[in-house]
Amino acid sequence: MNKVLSYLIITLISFVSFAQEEKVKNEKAHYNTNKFKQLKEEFNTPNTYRTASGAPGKDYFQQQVDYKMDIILDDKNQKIFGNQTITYHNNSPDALAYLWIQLDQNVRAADSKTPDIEGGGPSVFYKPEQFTQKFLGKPFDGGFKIEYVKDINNNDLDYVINQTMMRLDLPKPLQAGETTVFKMKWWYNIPEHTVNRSRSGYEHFEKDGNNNYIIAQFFPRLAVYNNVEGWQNLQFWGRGEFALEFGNYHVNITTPSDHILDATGKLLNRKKMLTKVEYKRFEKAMKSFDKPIIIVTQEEVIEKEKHFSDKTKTWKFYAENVRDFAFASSRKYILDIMAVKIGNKTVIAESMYPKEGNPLWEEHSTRVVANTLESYSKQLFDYPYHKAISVHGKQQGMEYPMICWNYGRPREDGTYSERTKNGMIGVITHEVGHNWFPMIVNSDERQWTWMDEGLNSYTEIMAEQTYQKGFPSRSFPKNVTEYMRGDQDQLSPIMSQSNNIYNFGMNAYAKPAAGLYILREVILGHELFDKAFSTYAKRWKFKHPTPEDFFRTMEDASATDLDWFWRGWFYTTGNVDVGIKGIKKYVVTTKPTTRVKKMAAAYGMKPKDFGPVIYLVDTESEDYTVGMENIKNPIEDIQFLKDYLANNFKGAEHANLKNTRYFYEIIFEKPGDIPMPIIVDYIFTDGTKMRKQYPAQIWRKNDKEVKKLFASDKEIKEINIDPDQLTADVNIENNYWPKKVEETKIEKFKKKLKDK
Amino acid sequence: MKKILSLLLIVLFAFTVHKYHLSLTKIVFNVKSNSLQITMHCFIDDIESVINKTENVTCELATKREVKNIDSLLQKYVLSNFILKVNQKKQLLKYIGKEYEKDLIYFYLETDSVPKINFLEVQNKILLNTFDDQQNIIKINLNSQKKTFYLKNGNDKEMLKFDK
Repeated sequence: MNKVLSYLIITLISFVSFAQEEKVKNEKAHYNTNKFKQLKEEFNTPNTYRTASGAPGKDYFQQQVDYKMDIILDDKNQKIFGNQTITYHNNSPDALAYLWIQLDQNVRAADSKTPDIEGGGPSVFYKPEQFTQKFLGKPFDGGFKIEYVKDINNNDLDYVINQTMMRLDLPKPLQAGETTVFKMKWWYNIPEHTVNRSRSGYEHFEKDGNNNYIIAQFFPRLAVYNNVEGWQNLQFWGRGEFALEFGNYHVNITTPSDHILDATGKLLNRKKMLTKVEYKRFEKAMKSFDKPIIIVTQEEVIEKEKHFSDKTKTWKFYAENVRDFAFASSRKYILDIMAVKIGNKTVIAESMYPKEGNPLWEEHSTRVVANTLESYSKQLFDYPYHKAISVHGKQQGMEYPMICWNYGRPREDGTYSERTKNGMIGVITHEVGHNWFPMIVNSDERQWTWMDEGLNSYTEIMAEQTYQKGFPSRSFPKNVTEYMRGDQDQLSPIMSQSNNIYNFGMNAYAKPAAGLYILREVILGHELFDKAFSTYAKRWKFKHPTPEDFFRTMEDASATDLDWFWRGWFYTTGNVDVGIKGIKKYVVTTKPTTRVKKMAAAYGMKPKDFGPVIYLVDTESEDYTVGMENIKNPIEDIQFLKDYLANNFKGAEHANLKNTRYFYEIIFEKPGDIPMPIIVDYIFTDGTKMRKQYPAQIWRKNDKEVKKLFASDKEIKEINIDPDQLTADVNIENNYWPKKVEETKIEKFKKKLKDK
Repeated sequence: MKKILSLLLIVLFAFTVHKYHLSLTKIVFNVKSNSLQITMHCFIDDIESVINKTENVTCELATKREVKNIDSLLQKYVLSNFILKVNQKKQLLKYIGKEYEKDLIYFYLETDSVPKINFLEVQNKILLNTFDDQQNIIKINLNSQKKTFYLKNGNDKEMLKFDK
């Protein structure tokens, strides 16, 4: 035993000394540029607000803002009027001299600076309304008209408006733990969203003269104050979305009496708002778990569209612990509902759509809502609200708590293409899914688009696949490769502020989603990933997480160092390209090789001093001589090995020893920047195959190339890297050995033409 | 008209279909026929919107609602926007055909037998007029020399010199 040990030590020493001799001297000192370097410099130091494990800390706080609102929707003039009382709870440890309030509608005020920051030449074309607004001195004025801001004693309060942000100067600082109440009155012109490109507004239907209102960010909303940004008062430029506090909402909305409306929160006077027949249907729908029940039918809507009531009615809502409030209202709404069991609760899945959405909407919308609620609840946590509504909005895809707008309009004759149908299923899944990210797991959208869009686009894949197996989901890793190998001038790291991103959709939706898919399928496996991902969602439910809270939680719950992955995938614009550079075949011999002779000489020994040993010889090296292949079965043909095995293994154990006799050195290359596990299919001459995955850490000491010894009882015929295209490898030409000489697409196509 | 509008507008919203605009063109020298073979692909809906706009038709590609002469419309569009110059002379291109694959459309083009190539100029204006962020990637494999470059608005052509 001792003898063996000493040989081992000698061997180790000798390797070290050889390595030192061969090393090319690098004179320049450098910082740690290793791709596996931990993210200590990029991450903030953990503190008592946010722990090193990625969970909320003992001093974590967030503000609460409650709203009481009376809203009037003026359908005749497309205006909205609001009267609101805001109660602001300062739960922070800081005294606040002023509050920042978001006036998002100012993004389309006549003097908005948003158009001023957009470069570029003329649009492809202009609709008459657009031409008039842009060039004829009649810009649409959609900004907030603030009538007053008063305290509860009706004293005017001082405020200053900077574009989309209003600073409310408090008479005296609001101390930690204190609450302040103030009132605001306002109105604005609602934009026609198909003309003015907005997330909220109305669509006018020329044929029947009706409007479809999808109304959001329609009231002055408090900005977030936290320990990360202080006040999150980055301007709303139209792209980077919202950062909002949780609170409770009492909202009354007055509409024409023939409208159907729904909104965030519990509808308190449903019985009064619906007709008797409609309410009966609603009660039936609440027991219908397998299919939607139509509450307001298409025939009824066609009749309603012809009349424009002068009477009004007031819808009353109460929403608890939501970060926002939105509503949709129209005379044109067909309404259907089905019940969904989530945990031990019955949740309402609901759709509102004009007849122009049919037959597509009655077939799919509510069913997709129900599927999304079930799938996301399973993946993350049970849906905590009592309903989720999908509203038809032309060219829309926008999310709010419990309610969202979705596109998907059939042709005028009611037919629709697969693309329209799949687009609609995708968008409804996506927007309903946003209830989790960011409506409940309330990340800062203004700063980080990927935290809600990317995480949600990943969760969406799973929900789409349960709705329809094989659904053409967009965010699979193989769908981002063309984007990732694009021109570096047109790429931004995922970790970029949302207004400054190139290729918004790919950068903030598909790439992060594909990254999570890779984490689940390749790096962590389903069990570790699912637990870690849902741990993040549960930890930050009804709270404000940051990117680090996500990154840290994923590692905390999986015991896997993922810093290299976050660095490569989220902090850089690199891509993945792993390939096979070459393969060497080895044979077994007992004849000492040059290498062992050299090593023995260095220590004044002879190869025989190492005892009877086996050598592997590269068939293309000097040591190789014809006849070495004679050792076909080492365990039979090498007597001392045979003896050793006979002495040490008995019976079945002996019989089960692998007859390993093929030895290869595989040289993997990595032209891509991002480290990635190597997934290899070894395909043998007998037709069987074996999959082996080498962890990404294989690249930790050599970023460009690694060798791997592969020994088998079968002869290799082919090697495929990443055979299922799971790693977003941007170049698959180097993924095969022997190199695949595939017929080009054009040659194949020409043959096809000939055969016709 | 409506269709194009929806495609252009959609870019701003929180969810869109593919949300980036890209084409990839591979140019390969075929030793047997001594010709250049070109395979270009881009998104079906992008090409659809530009054909509908420039030809004033309303067709849906890859569905039964294609117009009858769609191949000649596509040929006209592709050949007027993709231009090759060999040794500084404009090279005639044959439009072999098109093929759909999921959400992509593939175009196949080929030259006749070409002289020894010293200079090759590639211009690809496909979709540049329609989308500000359109990127046209070109990959060339000629006499075992490989080259990749990106064409975009403001820089829609590239000249290559071959030594061998």
